[in-house]
Amino acid sequence: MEINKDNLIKFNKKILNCREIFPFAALLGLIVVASFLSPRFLTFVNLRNLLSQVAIIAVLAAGQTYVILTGGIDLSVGSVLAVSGAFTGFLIKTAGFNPYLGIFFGLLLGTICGLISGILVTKMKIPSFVATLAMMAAARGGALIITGGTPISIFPEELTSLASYWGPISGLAFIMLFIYIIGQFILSKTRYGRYIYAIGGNEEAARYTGVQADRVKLFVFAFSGFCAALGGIMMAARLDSAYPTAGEGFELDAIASAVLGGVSFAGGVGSLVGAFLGSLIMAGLNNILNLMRVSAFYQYIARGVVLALAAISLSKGNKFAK
Amino acid sequence: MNRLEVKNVSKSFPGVKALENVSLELNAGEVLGLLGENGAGKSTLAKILNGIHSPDEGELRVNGKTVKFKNPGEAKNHGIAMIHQELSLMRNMSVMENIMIGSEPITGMGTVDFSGEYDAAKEALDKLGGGINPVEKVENLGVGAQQKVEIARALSQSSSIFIMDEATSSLTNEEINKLFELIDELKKNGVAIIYITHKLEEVFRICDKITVLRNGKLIGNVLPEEVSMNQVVSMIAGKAVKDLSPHEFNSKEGPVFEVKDLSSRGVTGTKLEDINFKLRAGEILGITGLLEAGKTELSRALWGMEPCESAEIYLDGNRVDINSPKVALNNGLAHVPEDRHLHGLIPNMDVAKNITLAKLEEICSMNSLINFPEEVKISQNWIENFKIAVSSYRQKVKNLSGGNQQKVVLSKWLQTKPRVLVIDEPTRGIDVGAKEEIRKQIQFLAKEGMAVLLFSSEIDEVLSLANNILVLCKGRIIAEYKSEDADKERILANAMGIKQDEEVI
Repeated sequence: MEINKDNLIKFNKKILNCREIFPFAALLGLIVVASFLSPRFLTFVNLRNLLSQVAIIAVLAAGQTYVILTGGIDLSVGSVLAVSGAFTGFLIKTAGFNPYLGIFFGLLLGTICGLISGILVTKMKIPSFVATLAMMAAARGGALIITGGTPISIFPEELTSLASYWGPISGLAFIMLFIYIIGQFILSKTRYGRYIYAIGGNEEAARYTGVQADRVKLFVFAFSGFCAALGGIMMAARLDSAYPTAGEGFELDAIASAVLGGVSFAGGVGSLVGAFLGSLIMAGLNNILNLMRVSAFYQYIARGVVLALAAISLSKGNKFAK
Repeated sequence: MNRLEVKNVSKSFPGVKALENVSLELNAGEVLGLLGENGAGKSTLAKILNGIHSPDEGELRVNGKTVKFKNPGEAKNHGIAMIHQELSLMRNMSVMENIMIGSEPITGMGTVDFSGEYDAAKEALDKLGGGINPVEKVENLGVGAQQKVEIARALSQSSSIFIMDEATSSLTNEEINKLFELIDELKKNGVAIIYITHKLEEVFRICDKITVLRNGKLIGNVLPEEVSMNQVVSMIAGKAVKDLSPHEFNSKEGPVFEVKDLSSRGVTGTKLEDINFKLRAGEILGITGLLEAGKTELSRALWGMEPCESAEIYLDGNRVDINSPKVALNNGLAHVPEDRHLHGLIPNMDVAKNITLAKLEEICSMNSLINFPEEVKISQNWIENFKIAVSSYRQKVKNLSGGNQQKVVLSKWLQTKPRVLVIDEPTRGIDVGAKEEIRKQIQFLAKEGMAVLLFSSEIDEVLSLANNILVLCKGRIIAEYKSEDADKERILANAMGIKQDEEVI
């Protein structure tokens, strides 16, 4: 393409219309500021740790983004993470299952939890906030029952090796990248992704047009449950234990990551690329505050401020993009 | 001195002259019936009186004083109250809270004075004959009682001019009688009422004078005792304005689409009874009727969106059970909905994605992966074909004009290559140029052999396009015409449910 003024303006407009530009700029800003604040930020070891720290929340955020894109929300991801991790641990340690089989059944359990939420939303017509709040409570109970309230520890190498480093990046980061690549591919290249956006944009019209909205919604909740279970197994691998209290409050971090990445709560707008950038901003912020030895109490305030600023800039950005 | 005077008021919108030099007068204690077809200018006039629009020319006088409303609040301050078609009450709150909202009496502590609120609400209700407990929740009341609460609210805000828009549309006969008693009470209280309706018998029952509008122009101010119903019908109808003539059609082939004994339960609106019709390839069958005639319900039923009590639907002679849009779509039906914003479009999506949405699987490899170059080609074809004014196929549909949005909806459905096109109010709310283009396109499709079922409340539109015309009234097919014997006045009289001496085919 010839570079002239028109093309340049078109290109600029395209970039400005792209919702991911805000979180991208924010992430760049964060990196620049952080590398000035601490010389340890831009080191290989730190970045490597950052990527494996972000992995679990980012995987939850991927499933969460699918649900939010259809106009719903999934509050149960933290609890589903715990119950799936505990179930996998129980099968491997107590029941003596083959580790891979244990992982398979853990993922299956999470997916079933998601499907149940989906059935409550589509067939019973319960708002997703309430349906997944119920699942959040029930799944946490399940995790406590399976573990008897105490952590299940010391797993075979097949499981723990997921968290070890394979070359420069960890197994956890590989899993995260895999989920994001597949997830973004489904969203932007397949018709199921198109239906997700259509339902979030105008569910009535999508139904009228013959889109089987209930099936698509079941799928997104199942996907979110699957991602949560994957998060649970990643966590068990990393800590070499499955805690009944694992993932408490993670649902909020996952939602925050999606919002920071420009995923609209009204549905129909946003992408996994955005959610990924959002997760990186959250983790990067935590990381630099830790490096600077800021107290955890103040870190919560910093997170709240950043989230509010992101929401404000996105609502402004929306007006500009019109 | 007149309570309300409208003098030479005109109002234009881009591309449309909505009102032209309209005048009327209304005294205290009088009821004026405002009549006209859809698009005649009734709602524009109501919106001007209610402060939603301001007139381009002319003036309004309330109690002899010239007034200019900038917003509905100012109209309310001058005593003008609108009683809406859809009720505007907070259903979760009590009757008295609804009546007193915005003017709650306050105690010395700064809290709401409930006993004072109760008394004031009761007083307003008693003026209307009482019978409603002020502490009852609105959601426990019937539609008629809710309307009474709405009127009581307007009264308590000392409104003296009421605009009632299709006030009886969701009332039972008994409730209608009660409303009319209430209107008598209001008249005694010196309230002046503009009564907008399409039900002539109601106008003749309660109105002191009649104003008829057609195409934004004042056709006449008459007194009910001086005219007959049929005279009023011809004032409303006027001469048919046809921008096209129906195409030649005399196929002897069997019907492509046939509906037998369709009856609905009327869960969402008008109950349909004994609907029967046949549609041949290349034919445009027009179905017309007024508000609540059952037009919307019938069109939704054919798309699997309205529960039917009984219905036999045949495509090419084969019985099909249409219980969801997907089934209808797979059987070669397409449905351009009445409300394109609610049912037709995904506003945040671009033109190309909207056009391919209905049969996306057809441009997917392995039934899943979207073929993007194919999508672009398809959307560019339709953009060219329909002259859709867009900057690119990536433009979001929410930023298009009404006419262009409708062309996108039509493209989406034609892309499914339907054999039967159901099209509901195809030209509602779009500018004149786009209207004509869309009508020509519909006719072209029929000439090419498509079977078209055209739902329209614009009788002129049906007369311009349809080979055969069905008239719906109160959920039944009340008359049937061939295009050559169709007559606007007779169709309108049928639709209004007025019996005429001529025989009906």
